[in-house]
Amino acid sequence: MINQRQILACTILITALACVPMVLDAETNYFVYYLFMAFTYAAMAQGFNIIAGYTGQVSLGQHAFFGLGAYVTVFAWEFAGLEYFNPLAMILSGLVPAILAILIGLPLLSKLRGDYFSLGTLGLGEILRVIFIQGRAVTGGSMGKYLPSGSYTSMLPYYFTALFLAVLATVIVYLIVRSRIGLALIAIREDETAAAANGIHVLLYKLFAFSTGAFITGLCGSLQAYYLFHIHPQNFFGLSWTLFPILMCVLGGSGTFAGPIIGALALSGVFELAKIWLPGIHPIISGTLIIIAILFLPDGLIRLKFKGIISKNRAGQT
Amino acid sequence: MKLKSDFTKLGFYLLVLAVLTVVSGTVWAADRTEILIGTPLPVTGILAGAALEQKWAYEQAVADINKKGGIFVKEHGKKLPVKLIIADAESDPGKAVAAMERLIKVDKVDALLSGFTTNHIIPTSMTADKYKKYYHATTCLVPPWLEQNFKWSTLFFFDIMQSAAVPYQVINSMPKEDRPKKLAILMEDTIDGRAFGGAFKAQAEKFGYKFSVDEPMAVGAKDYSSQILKLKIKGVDGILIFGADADCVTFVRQMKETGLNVKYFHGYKGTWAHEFYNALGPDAEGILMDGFWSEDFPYPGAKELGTRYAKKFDKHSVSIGLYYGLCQILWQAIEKAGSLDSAKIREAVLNNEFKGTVIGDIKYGDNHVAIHLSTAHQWHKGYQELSYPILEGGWKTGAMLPWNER
Amino acid sequence: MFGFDSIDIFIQVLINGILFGTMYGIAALGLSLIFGTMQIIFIAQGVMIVLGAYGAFWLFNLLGVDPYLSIVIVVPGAMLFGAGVYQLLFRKISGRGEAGKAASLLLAFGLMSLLENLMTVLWTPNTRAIRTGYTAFGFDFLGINFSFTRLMAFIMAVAATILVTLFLKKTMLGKAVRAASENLESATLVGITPHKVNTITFAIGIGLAGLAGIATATTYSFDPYFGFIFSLKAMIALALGGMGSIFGALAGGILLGVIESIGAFIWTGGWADVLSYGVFLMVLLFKPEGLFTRTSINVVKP
Repeated sequence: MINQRQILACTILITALACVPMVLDAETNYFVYYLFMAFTYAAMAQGFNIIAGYTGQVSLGQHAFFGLGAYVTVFAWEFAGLEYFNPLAMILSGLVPAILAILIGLPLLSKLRGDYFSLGTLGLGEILRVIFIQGRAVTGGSMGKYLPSGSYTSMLPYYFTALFLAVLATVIVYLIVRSRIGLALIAIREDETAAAANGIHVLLYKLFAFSTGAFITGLCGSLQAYYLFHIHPQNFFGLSWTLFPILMCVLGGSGTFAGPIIGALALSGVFELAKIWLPGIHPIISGTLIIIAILFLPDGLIRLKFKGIISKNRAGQT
Repeated sequence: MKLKSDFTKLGFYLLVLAVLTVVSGTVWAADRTEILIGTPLPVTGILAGAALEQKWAYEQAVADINKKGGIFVKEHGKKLPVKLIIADAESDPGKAVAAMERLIKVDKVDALLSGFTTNHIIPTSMTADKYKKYYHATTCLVPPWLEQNFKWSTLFFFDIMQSAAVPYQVINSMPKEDRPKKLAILMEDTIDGRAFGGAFKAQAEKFGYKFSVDEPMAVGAKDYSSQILKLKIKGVDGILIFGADADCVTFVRQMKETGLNVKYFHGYKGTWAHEFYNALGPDAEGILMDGFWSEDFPYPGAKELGTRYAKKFDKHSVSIGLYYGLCQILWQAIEKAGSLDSAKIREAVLNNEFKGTVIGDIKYGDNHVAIHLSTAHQWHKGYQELSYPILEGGWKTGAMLPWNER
Repeated sequence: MFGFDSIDIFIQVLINGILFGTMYGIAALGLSLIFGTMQIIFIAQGVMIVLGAYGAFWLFNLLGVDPYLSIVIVVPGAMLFGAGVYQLLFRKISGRGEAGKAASLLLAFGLMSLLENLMTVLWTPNTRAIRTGYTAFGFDFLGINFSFTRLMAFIMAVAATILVTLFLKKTMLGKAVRAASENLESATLVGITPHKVNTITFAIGIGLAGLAGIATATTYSFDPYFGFIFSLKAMIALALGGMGSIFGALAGGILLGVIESIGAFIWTGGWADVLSYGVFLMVLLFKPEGLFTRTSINVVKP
């Protein structure tokens, strides 16, 4: 449970992060860019956290929502004139994936359990990628779509939006967890049959978690679309947009609400440093670190501090 | 939770943040000892193999200019050696952009050399524009690049319409009885494949050719037997294909297995690598490929560069001249600019003519683009003979022999 | 109809699909075994296949060993490697329930990333291929064209399936593996150590990957990143055929190959992909235990 002191502490930390661009030049400083990407990943990791960490459904298809969010942004720009960083466009970029999550979640979540669900979401991601490649006239096919890059003026809107998304995602997680919804989700994660027996409408809660995660992920896709200005299926429906947030969530500590953030910041940092210092062999280093972390820090970085104080029973933790 | 620990934790995080901020904000004021040139190449991932020649050519160009002591930069009053900094684009456009950011912000490079392939070049050119750093690009399709109106990059590549005309010019250069009568066009479903497909078909009309079969080629497919069967049924005897090297190998092997004989097989992108030849051996005899350059070009240093490569890798290249020449242009431009400032380098590139490179004399247009010739070569006994442009007393392109006559 | 001008063409497309599908099937065999016993989706299977292919390649290039003969070296080597991978890596996280599943998935991902790039550094990212007299050889039989290497792959896959099935049904160790896959706890109760079972399973699974690697090396040119598509398609084959069934894995692969072959003929290559993923999703939704399993796995309990 969180108390007022912790809320104060978090507020101070967020304010400090918001002040970073005032100290450093956002245009030329790499640390700002690193934080921008880390915050984006943190938000996506939280999205995964909701569906997997708290509800226990391992979704391997987050990249479907990410790419869809990006394309919605492009279409909003092209067809509805909702341009650069338009809030309505971004909200739509979150809503459409959320709706897809509900539509596809209905059959997927009601019929499939565990690994079958994971495989199904993986297939979903791939199918969207292939459809968008085939979609030629509408989606630009494999050539993708371009946004007018002249709209770029400064790094600042990206930094603050990413920070906002990370905070938003964490607040959403916090609110869910503190509420009855969170209790229901955790109950479903621990023992689905018992939860159902206790009158919890399992499918409804699962859909809620799935679509909330999709919403956040879609928003992140929109942000990346504004950043890269070139949207095409190979990039935006790539599996790394699913795998990295999962890594960060699990290594940070899934099922907690600070875990994904710590995981995102730490892992992004490690990857960046590896790329700067060891450009040729950095994936070997990253791969090895991932393996070591999974083997020796099975409950995530965040639980390092709590060993011995809190038991390994996850149901007792928030 | 203890009351104190919350603020202790906060204090810890704030301290870490402060340290990182200060460290990254420190400006390293150093006296100039070298010219920093960055490049976002794919060192890992599925494009890594295709970018190897580019990397090697860059490294050779840097080594060669440094052997002469470097480039004379008037502003610093002396010759400065070049340092090439390669950042891994990880075969992913988003990561290529991140690599550019790293090069510009962390390594603080003076100018940037091209990354690899259209869908990396366009986003990285956008990055160059964002931070107003000069980006010396190649390996990008010209039309989509031009559409973006980049201010801070230039492009040195071939004209796609000229390249698309080459197959027909090669066919026309073959003896009449060797020419294919029924052509098929198979383009992979990617940015480059689609663009080329459109160009090939437009040029086909101009030259009076028609395609009996027009289909996309699935990327990374492990089996083309259905498609080959269709070609066999239609009696196709000439194939124009755009695909990756592994796919082309699979395709040709299956052609042989099913007994589909063609007189003319012209591959773009996938048939020029020596690895393609290694996988097929005598079966590759007569297959045509596209190219950027030939060591048989009558330009200074071309043959020497080609021989150097052949000695090191025991195979020949039809691309290194482009990348080496690209570097030569940049070195000359830096010298003419007399400065390491991106704006001045850009002006120097746009306003000068560059002579004596391994790929000829080059001049950029007002639209920031310079064009070189797209070539065609034919595999003959493990060497890429130059089929186009047709040199006096040079190679004569012939038809492929049927499988059972080899 | 559908562009099939005659029944011969349809049969040819069908045979092509079957032979092509065995490549997926062979990749799925090991995956099925590992999943059946440990409920791990081993997405690094593709990378293991590539390792096997490189093994065959180097044996061929450096020592002149014919790829099919190199089975006797590559497969046992792969089995040892698989046992090692389990002991070093997966043993620690096995048996931790749901949390263990996400962890093992990520572990496999980390392993995949590490090995792919290790291969790139050691052996360069250039594509490699084995070229012998038979690597591009096809022949006609009863009016149908067969590809030699794909036919060999089919024979190897069938042989492997039979051998593994015999092992599971007839040997003590095999029965232990089967017992463990049904219920690990009760297997422990009767004295079967789960770790030994898992090690054997992994060894066989990676050994099968080695076999698939040889089939790959003779048919395709490959590079370190070649395996990932295989992993994906193998997983689809698994879903089609039934997650825990060896025969189902092979059948699923063949079915996938046939679907893609017919799809590529009727439409074009691009839509074949959409078709296979679509079928994949349909099967998962309506018959998740797979099309070829006779017993319906209780999918309520993962």
